Amino acid sequence: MLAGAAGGFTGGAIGTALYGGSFSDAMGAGIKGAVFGAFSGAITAGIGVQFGDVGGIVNELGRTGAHGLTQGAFSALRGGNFWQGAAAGLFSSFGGSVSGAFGVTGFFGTVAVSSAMGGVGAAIGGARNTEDILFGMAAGAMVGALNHALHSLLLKKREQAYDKMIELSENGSFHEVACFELHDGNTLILPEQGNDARNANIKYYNLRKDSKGNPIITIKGKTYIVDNVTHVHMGTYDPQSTNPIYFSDEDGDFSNWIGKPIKILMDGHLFSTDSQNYMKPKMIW
Amino acid sequence: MVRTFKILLLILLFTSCKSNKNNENYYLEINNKELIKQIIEYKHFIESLNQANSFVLKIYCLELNDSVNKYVISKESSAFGFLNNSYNFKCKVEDFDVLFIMVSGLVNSPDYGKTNLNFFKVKQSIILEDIKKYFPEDYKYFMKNGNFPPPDMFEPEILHLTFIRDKLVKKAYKRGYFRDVK
Repeated sequence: MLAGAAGGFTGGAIGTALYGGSFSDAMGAGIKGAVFGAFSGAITAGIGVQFGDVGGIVNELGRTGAHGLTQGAFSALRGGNFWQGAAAGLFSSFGGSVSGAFGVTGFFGTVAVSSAMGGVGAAIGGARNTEDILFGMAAGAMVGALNHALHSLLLKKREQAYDKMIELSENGSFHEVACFELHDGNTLILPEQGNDARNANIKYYNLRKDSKGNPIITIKGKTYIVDNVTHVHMGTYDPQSTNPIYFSDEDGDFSNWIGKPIKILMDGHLFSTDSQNYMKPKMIW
Repeated sequence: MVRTFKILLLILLFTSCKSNKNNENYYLEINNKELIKQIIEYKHFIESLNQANSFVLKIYCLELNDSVNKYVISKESSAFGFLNNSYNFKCKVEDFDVLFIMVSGLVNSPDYGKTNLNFFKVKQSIILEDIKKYFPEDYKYFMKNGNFPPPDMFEPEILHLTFIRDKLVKKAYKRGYFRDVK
């Protein structure tokens, strides 16, 4: 909701100012945009939860349609044109869905593509003034930020997933990235939201243990066994050091929880270790 | 009548002593101002990172030789980690609980999850009470599922302090493990 409010405020205020409005006009439009943006943001995020990660064509068409309807309705509610809003929602969602295929997978890249596509959509829908195009771009940025960029990436090949994680961790700002290595052979790279150089959020898809002690997750009602959780450590591998990959207390706790050595990606390599062997981690990739 | 009053008074005294034993009397006092200062600084450091919903501080105590002691300050932000790094005694700093782990008494377990090999340990019932106090959500999860949720992957720098007798001679924030020497 906050992201939506911020986007709505910015779009409203800048658009009004560029259109020749006074400061108070710009503030008024900004506040109005913020209120609509907050509600729109909540619903946009809800659509993201409903449709989940980028998946098959049917899933993505459903997501695109839902965003089109939502943004069209909000555009009409704020006194604008339904079709301009709907086109902004459709195009931005489409942009978010296909951006990964063109190598744009980072948070800011996805948001930028969705935002630009939202502006294009609004223009195709008939927007001719700066305010409406900026609202289209703000709606697109929100769709990108609250929907596409906050979801996971499923890859069939482990090595491909490790390469992607390294790329993501160094894309824009340095931050940790984590993945679930599933028992079926697939690898699920987790969203990067909130991650930084010290932290990778792994509490997704209700990671827990089943009655046999296997780590499991649930996605859209289906349960998957998690073989391991791999995460990135920032920095340089130093085999001469007493702790070559900065093994931490938390790594030790997690390897105890999962019942096997933890896997850590660092400096372009994959290591396996635990609190007994952290001084000599095993390089496995 | 007097006899009854005396018995009631004794019962009252007994129950109040029991209550104290479970609360304030359980805490030791830190007798070094520099260590207290460093604990407060580290607590502010963790809070400034804004990543842990709830945490307690834990301090690993390593005796390097007769006059050199090392204290490694870190945080604990999950019940599972708390259970795996069981403390030996508690102190309070500015009303915040700080847990001390005597590394000289630790015995490394070759098997994952085994925590009962050390020479000394706090009773399991007290550990569970602590988890209920520090990590109420994880405690509820445990009561419902019989196991703990996964620990988090928030890995901040830990603070290594070296004291020669009561003087702080070396201080370093470093990523890594409490046993690290470099």
